[in-house]
Formats: sequence, structure tokens, C-alpha cells
Amino acid sequence: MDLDTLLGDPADPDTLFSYARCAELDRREEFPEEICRELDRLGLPARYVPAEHGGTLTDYPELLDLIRTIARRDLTVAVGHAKSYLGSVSVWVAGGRAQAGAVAADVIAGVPASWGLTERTHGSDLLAGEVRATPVPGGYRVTGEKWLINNATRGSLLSLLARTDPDGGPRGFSLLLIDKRELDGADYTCLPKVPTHGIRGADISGIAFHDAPVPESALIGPEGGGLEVVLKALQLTRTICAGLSLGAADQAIRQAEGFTAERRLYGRLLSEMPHVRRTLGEAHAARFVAEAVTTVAARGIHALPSEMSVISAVTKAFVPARVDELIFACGELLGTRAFLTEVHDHGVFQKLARDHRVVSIFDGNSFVNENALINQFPVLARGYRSGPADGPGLSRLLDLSAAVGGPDHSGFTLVSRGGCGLVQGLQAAVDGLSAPDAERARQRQDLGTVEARARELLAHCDDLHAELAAYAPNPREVPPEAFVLAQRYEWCFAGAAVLQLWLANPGWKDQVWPEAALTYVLARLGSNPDRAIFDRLFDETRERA
Amino acid sequence: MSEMLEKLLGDPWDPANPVNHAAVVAADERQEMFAEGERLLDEYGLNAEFVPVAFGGRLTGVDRLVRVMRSVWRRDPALGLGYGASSFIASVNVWAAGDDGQRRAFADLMLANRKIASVYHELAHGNDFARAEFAATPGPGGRLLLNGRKEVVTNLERADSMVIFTRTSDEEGSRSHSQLFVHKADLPPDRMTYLPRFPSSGMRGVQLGGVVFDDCPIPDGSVLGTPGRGIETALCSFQLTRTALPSMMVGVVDTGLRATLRFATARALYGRSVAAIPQVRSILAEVYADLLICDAFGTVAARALHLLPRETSVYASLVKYVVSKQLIDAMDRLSLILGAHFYIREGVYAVFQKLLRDLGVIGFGHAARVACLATVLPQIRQLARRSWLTADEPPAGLFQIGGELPPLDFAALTPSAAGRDSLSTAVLPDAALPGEVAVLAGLFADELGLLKQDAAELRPRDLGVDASPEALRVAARYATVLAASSCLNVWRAGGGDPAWVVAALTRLAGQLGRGSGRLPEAISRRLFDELLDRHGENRGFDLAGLPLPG
Amino acid sequence: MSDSADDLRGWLVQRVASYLEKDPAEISTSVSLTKYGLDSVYAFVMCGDIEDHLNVTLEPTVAWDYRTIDALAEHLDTLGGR
Repeated sequence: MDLDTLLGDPADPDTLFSYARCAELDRREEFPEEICRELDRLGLPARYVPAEHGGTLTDYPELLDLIRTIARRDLTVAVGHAKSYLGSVSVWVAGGRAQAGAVAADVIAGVPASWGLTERTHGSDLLAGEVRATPVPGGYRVTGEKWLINNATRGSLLSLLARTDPDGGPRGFSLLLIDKRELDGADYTCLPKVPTHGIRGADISGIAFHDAPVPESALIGPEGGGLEVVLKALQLTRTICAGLSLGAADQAIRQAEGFTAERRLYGRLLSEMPHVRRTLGEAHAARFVAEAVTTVAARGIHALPSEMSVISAVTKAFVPARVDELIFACGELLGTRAFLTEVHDHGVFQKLARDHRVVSIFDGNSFVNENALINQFPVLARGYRSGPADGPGLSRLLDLSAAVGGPDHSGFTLVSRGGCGLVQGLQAAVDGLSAPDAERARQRQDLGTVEARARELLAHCDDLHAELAAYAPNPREVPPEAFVLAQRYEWCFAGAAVLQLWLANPGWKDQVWPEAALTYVLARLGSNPDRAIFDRLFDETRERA
Repeated sequence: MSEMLEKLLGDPWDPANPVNHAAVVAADERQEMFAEGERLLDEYGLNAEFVPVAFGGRLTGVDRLVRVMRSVWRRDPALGLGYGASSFIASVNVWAAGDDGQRRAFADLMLANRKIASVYHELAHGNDFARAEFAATPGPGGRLLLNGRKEVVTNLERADSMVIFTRTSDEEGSRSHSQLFVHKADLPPDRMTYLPRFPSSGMRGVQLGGVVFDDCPIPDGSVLGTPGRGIETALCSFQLTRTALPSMMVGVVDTGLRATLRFATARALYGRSVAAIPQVRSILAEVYADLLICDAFGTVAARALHLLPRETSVYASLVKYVVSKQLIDAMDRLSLILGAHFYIREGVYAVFQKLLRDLGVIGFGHAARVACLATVLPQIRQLARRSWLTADEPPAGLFQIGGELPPLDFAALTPSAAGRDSLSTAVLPDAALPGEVAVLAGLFADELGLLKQDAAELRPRDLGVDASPEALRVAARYATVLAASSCLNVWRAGGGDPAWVVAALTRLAGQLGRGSGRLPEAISRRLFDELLDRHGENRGFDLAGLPLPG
Repeated sequence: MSDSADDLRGWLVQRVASYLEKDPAEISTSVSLTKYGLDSVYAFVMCGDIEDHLNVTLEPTVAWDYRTIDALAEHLDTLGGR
């Protein structure tokens, strides 16, 4: 379905899901109830449920597109609705068939679900969690408080991470599927809505349990398996977050382009001024790179699930950060209009700028994700020497015309033993640029400076992996330099994603796209490439507009 | 003095203080100016800080003014702008161009705790103020009549008087505008209509208003200075505001840093305090270094207004360019440490998100960053030819933090520095520098040499608003050299542990692509320890490091 | 008008043409520089170039007050700058 068309013109205040209404809800800090109901009516909840359990989720790239489409209009709505996916994903990853079937029916029916991980004093440190589920005959008694939970109050279902072993530790926590409808009013208290900087309408609140009885059947996966299930489920949700970012990027670029195309300053259109063209061209390159990374992650869920511990960490650390930068750059072009809340499409820009900042915080911020990468440096360094562990999987991932096959929600692992096929395939991809076979020769007609950029990228990547190999892991005292290495890894990954997607899909994009994208990446890896390519990219996007 | 004001406003973290952070956040939530804060600033007589001593005020040095205003900004940027800076912006036009009677009238209003609006902005023209349409034209009897609209103007409705930028001639060119100093009481009530307030995502309490004039007569003698000299007056006045305002906002990051330190030392993660995590320490040390860079550059430029007024058309714009981005980046990096707590509008750290939103105004308010570079570009070839690597040493007093200054001479400000720049060349190392510092200084000397070549090669079209991004980059790199020279020489003049200047120069060199900008472990540790000490002793994080209440 | 004013006019035409990246033949000495799109900031570029050419010191706003090449050349000539 073309969701955007179904939702109507967002600029028309009479449309249900309009900029005007979202601005008003934001001012009043009200949950977008009606809009979410409309999304329910359009069948979105079934998209969150894997086909094997009765839903219509067969393809993660498609789901990401839907989330991006909603986020483009309004991030608060996207965050408020997609929570049902977050609330149920642990069940798809580790739940039994019967349990999954029941949750699926609820989610499809529009019953909101939420995910209870964080606590007031522990933030991302899940192993410090104090909510207890004490085993009793037939089940558990749950006590304690979860806080800063998206949809804690509105949700009927809650996937709750609770301590089942008083001593805690990696096997001391379990996930329980709590159904509030089955609890007594005295069993729990919903905590007040927390006022937030952005997504002001979202239900960010908390829930406190008071010795609440939970049946044994509520266990998602085995007792003691909670942390593992969460870490696997996060590989999915961190990928989903990239869809939120891309939607925000779309709207930010749209606002900046619309404004600069109409605004006259110093006797000319802003969009004719060289620095404006450069800024917008670079924004397009940035979005394209973010898209490439997101595409790899979304297809990776299907094609390389065992490498998602690396891919999802890169995606979550990289994409929201680049989009925050992109939003800042667009905001500089919009000037005063980026600051006012009632002009220019009802202040949609300042709203998305506030809203989007939450995306970096959700489901693990950059520290958490970069830590996850740092912990995998040894395997990444080793893997780089031996190439992709799963060549056919990588090829399937990269070939956008190939069906990826249904997602295997049980295929995730905590550490990618094979490293990262995408980055490990860079050498072969670059070698292929000068291979004598006919297919490549045909492509080389269009290579332009892509080849030179690709070789530069490979050189950076080689240097980086030499440093990764020399890095002595010390999980207690992670030095700041390790984070620099992790960030360089993200950039190399992004460059590898752009290059290999482009090579694997002839005719997908003109060569100006990979050229600009690699320029964007190389500039951040410390090269000093000619940035005039961003101007050409800007012209290219104008011609197509 | 700032100590007096600090004492009056008290410890913003004290729950019992009626003007604490929580009260500021509450006023923001109500989208109101912070009334109790305004009352205390009235009591203190803050406006006197904007009035030269000769007119009964306390304005002596711009650097001192900045320090006093930081006490306001670090508590509430909305007060900083809505109580303070907006009248300051209006005032400089009057000191620069007004006659004695106008200056006296202005001073009297200020000293009576009144507000005066600076009425420049038209949404349709933004930074291109030369194309502003608002016009004052002679009507019957020769009286000037105002026509047109002004938008997003601070305090427009509650001000008693206005300094209005207006076209006063149909001719093209740069002699067709003037500033007017107008008292609302002198205007017929039916010729001036206020527009609804412009709500904004930051500075929510500040009354951003608009106005439409319809054949509104103004009294004779309202023009400030010679009619037609408005653009020149504006270009001179901007030198004060572009220097002082970003520099005042250093106070915002002071509080941002303080909030983050409180969080990092109070909160445990993975079994230890957040402040014990090496990556967190490293970010905090870098933000501290960036704050010192902003302070050094802003303070030197402020002192230059007194000592080198013919050079400040360049320094002022580049301070605005450098400091605005550094401060925004600093807050963004701190927000990473606060994590979800930066996103919450209640509780101990709620002030952070308010500061972050308020600081958003720095990027465009009163000139976009790129407009600041474009102001400098027309002068850049001349600066390169006449000054770079060859200029005489600047007066030693330029770098003496807190040193006495001669009074501001507004008449000495000029719209172009005509190639005069003694700050950049002062970055050259000499034999007296410790090795580590000398090596870093050498990087900037080298950069200045490259810039001199690059500037000479700029095409004429790159010197104006059609400048290529590469040309703008030349101006941006030059700004970095000026910031580096400020840091180096402030340290040379003040002495002491070179750790901070090594850190500052390392950070700035990184912006030029010379090194990663990351601090060596030993330097990072020294800065972090100093930061913790100052936090513990409750002292400011800027160069002066004065004690704070609490 | 003196010979030196003529020389100066010719030199100014060359400068203005170079700023605009146009043929000097397209530049009229009696048209306001603003009409050519040389705005207030270009005046500072021009002022610097004139100062270096004539080895004089000028108000940076000289081209705001003398808005055509003719007016500027005449003014500079009266200064006796050469």
C-alpha cells in the first residue's frame, strides 16, 4: 500500500494526520490517539507481526519504509505507534508458538504493547536492574519500578525485564510478558507522564509493580535468558530506529529545499548561492549514506542475522548521529524559521529537531553501541583477513532485486563469530573494479572517480583493521581511543555499504551518488577529497525534482 | 560587579533559592519571562551596565560587561536576552551615532529600568538588511512617516522606546538607511499595530513581537546621526554585539557543564560513578577546553574594541562564527553523557534542555554564521597582503585578562579593518615558548602562511555573497587562527600551567585537519582534574574562574 | 577633468570588469556600481585595491559615497593621490 497517499496531504489542516494537528498535539502534550487509531485502521499493526504468527511482516526493508513514511510526517506518531513492535519483538525472537500466537492476535487488534527495560537509577545498565520476579509455585511475584518507558501507561502488554535470581548476573534476569488486563488494580501503579524535550505527546512514563502475580506461562524464553533475549531483540529495534531517522532526514531536507527555493536574499534565490547548494548537496549525500547503512541492516536481518550484532550496533550509532548533523545543517539554512513554532508548516522543523534527538537515546545510545562494537574488535580484526564468512548471504543482502526470504527471528547471536561480511568484502569489491571480466568492463564505463574513492576507502579500512588487531581489549577501562576506532569503523562500514550496494545493482543510481557518498565518508575519515561533487549531486536532485 | 550580581542571584542549584534553576524552568514552561529574576535585575540595576560611565552608567570595558552578563545567561538565557541583551543591542546604535541629547535620553530610560527594543528584523529579508523594505519617508510638513512591518523583535510590545532600522531613501546603494530613536509616547496610537507574538522553541519566555506602521508620523530629530548613514552605523554597532553576545553565552555552557558534572559524579553506571568512565572524562575535558577557547577569543576581541577599534570589524564577526558553533557542539556532546536525562523537562537536570533550546538562538540570532564569514571575505585579500605574518605586535594589554582599558571610542570603529590585523600574526612562536606549545603554535603559523596564498588566489566573485564554499572556508580557517592566537597570547600574558593552552591549540588544530583534535591522555587528565577542582570549589569554568555562590 | 582622472577611470573600469568577470567594454562609467550588483561589501574590496594602487588611505566607504566610476575617479583625482 502507498501509506503516504492513504494518509492524505499533511499540509492540509483538514487532514487527520496533518502538520497542523501534530503541532497542536505537541503544544498540548497530548498523545496522537486519533492518528494512531487511523494507522490501526490502515492495518499497520499487522505489519509488526511476523507472517508465521498471523501478521503481514515478511520483509524488514518494507517495514522500515512504512516507519520512515510515518516519521517523515511526525516522529511522535511514529514513536507512539511503533512501540507495539518494540513491545512484542522479544516474543518473536524467543517466545513459544502459543505465546506468540496470542500476542500476535492482540497486536493485530491494536492492543498497545510496550517494553520495560530501564529503571530510574540505572539507565542503560540493565544488569543493575532491581525489579524482581520472585519464583513462586505456578509463576512469579513481581515488585519494583520501570521508568522512562514508552507507552508504559497506555500499553496493555508489557515485556518486562526482571531479576529472577537475587544475585543477578547475565543469567539472573528473565523476560516476562505482563498482561495488565489480567492484573488487579492493586498489583501495579502507572507512573505520571514524564515531560520531555521532544516527542512531547508520547506516553513516556513508568510502571511500578507491587507484588504482582504473574503466571509461569508469561516467561519469554527460558528463565535466566532475559538479557540474552533483550540483546537479540535490540538488534532488530536498533535497526528500526534508523527508519525514524530517515523520516526526519526527509522532512528536514524537504523544509530546507522548499525554503531556499523560494527565499530571495541579496537579490538572488538562496538555492542559487554556492554555499547553499553545497550544504544541500552534502545533506543529500549524508542521507544517501544513511539509507545505504539502513538498507544493509534491514536486509541483514534476513540475509545475515548472525552478523546483526555488529550491523545493528553500527546502524544505531551511525544513522541517528548523521541525521542530527543533517538537521543542524538544514536548520542553519532555515535560520529564524527553524526556531519559530507556528510559521512554515506549523513549525514542523523545530519539532522534528527536538523529536529526533530522542532517537539517539532510544535502545542504547552511541556509548552503548560503540561499546558493543569495541567488544567485537578481535573478531572483526580476524575476520578482515579472511573475507566474508558467508559470501552467498552477503550477495543476497546486496542484490536489491533478490528476494531476501522471510526473516529468521531465531538466527541472532550475541557476538558475530564471522565478523562483518560487508566490511570484510570491501577488498574483493575494490579488486573487482579492475577485474577483466566483461560485466565489470561494462560497468567501468560509468565508474568515474568512484574507483579512486573506493581505493582510498580501502586504504583507510586496511589501516583501521591493523589498529583493531593491535587493540588489547579491556572491558573495564575502555579508553577513549577505542571509541575513536569504533567511530572510524562506522564510517568504513558506511563507505563499504554504499560502494557494494552500488556495484551489486547496476542502473540503481547514477555514479554521482556513490561518488558524493564516498566523498562524504572520506572527508570524515581524514582525507581531503574535492567536495564540489556535492554541488553536482544537488543539481542532479534538482533535475529529478 | 559580577560578584555582587552573583551574590544577589544566589546559588541556582539551591532548592531554597527563589531564583534557582527550577524556577527558571517553570517560567519557561509557562512561556513567561522570569518575573522574580527581572525584579532582582531591576534591583541590581542591570541596565546601568550598558550605559557608559560618562552618562551615569557602569559601562567601562566590554570584557567586564560580558562577565557580568554571564551571571545572567548562566541562569536564564531568556533573561539574558529579554531583560539584558536586547536593550544592549539597541544601545550601541545610540552610543555610536546619536547626539548628546539622544544619548542622555537613552541613558535616562535605561537607568530608570525601562526597556528599549532594537527594531531591525524583517522576516522576508533576514540578514540582508540592506534590502529591508520598512521605510521612513517625508510626509506633508516634512515630518517622517513610518510604513512597513518588523517581525521577531524582542520586547517590542513592552519597550517604552525603540531603535528602528529603516530605509530613508529610495536610492540603491549603502547610503539609503538610517536608525531612528523613537519613544512610543510620541506616536499617535492608531498608526502602530502590534502583530501577535511569535512563539519559538527556545527563549520561550522572551516576547518576540512584530509591528506594522501605517503612515505613522515621528517627531523631528528622531534620526540617529547623519541621515543615510544607517548601514555604516549598523556595521559598527554589530562589532559590539557580535563580540559580546556569543561571549556572554559562554555562561550557558558553564551551567551545561556543571549540570553534567553533577550528573556524572552522582550517578552510578556499571558499578561505578559515570565520572569514572574514561570516555566521559575525555569528553568533559574537551568541552572544558572548548569553553576556554570561546572565552579567550571572545575576551581578546572584547578588549580589542577598546585597544584596536579599527580592526574589530573582522574579529567580531569571526568570534560570532567560532563561538556559536563551539558552544552548540559543547552542549550536544554533554547531552551524550546525560543521555535520557537531557531529554526530561523536570527534575534536577531539567535546566539542561532549556539551555539547549535557548542556545539555538545563537546560530542565527543577529546574523547567521555564514553571513559572518561573508562579512569578512571582502576584506580578506587586503588583510593577507597588509598584515598576515608581517603585522606589528598588538598592544600587550590586549591579552591581559581583567586589565584596565581605555573607554570605548565609538567613533573609532570602522565598517572595514582596511587590512589591519595584528592578532593573527601574534600566533607565531618564539624561543620562549615551551616545546609542546611552540610546536602547536607553529602549526597555526604554517596555516597562516597557507592562508596568505589562498587568500591571494581568491577570485573577485568569491569575496561577496556569491562566495564559493572553498572561499568561505578560507575565512573560517582564518577565524581558527585568530582563536588560536587569542588562546596562546592570553596564556603567554598570564602564565601558569600550559595544559589548557596545549588543549585549546590541540582542539583548534583538529578543526584545521591538523591532528584529530583529541587531547593527549596526560593533558586530558590535567584538565579533568582542574574541572573537578573548580566544580568542587564552586568556581566559574571560564578563564577568570571566579568563586560562585553556593 | 585631468588626464590622471582619465587614467584612473580606465583602471577602475578594468577593476570593476574583473570583479564582475565581464569584458571592460561592457562597463559604463556613469552607471551606479550597485546596478552592476556590486553591493556594500564589494566597496571594501574596491577600496583596498584603490589604496594599494594609489598608495593612499581612504575611508572604506568611499564607494558608497561616490557611486559611479566617474564620480569615484573625479573624487580620487581631487585627493591628488598620484
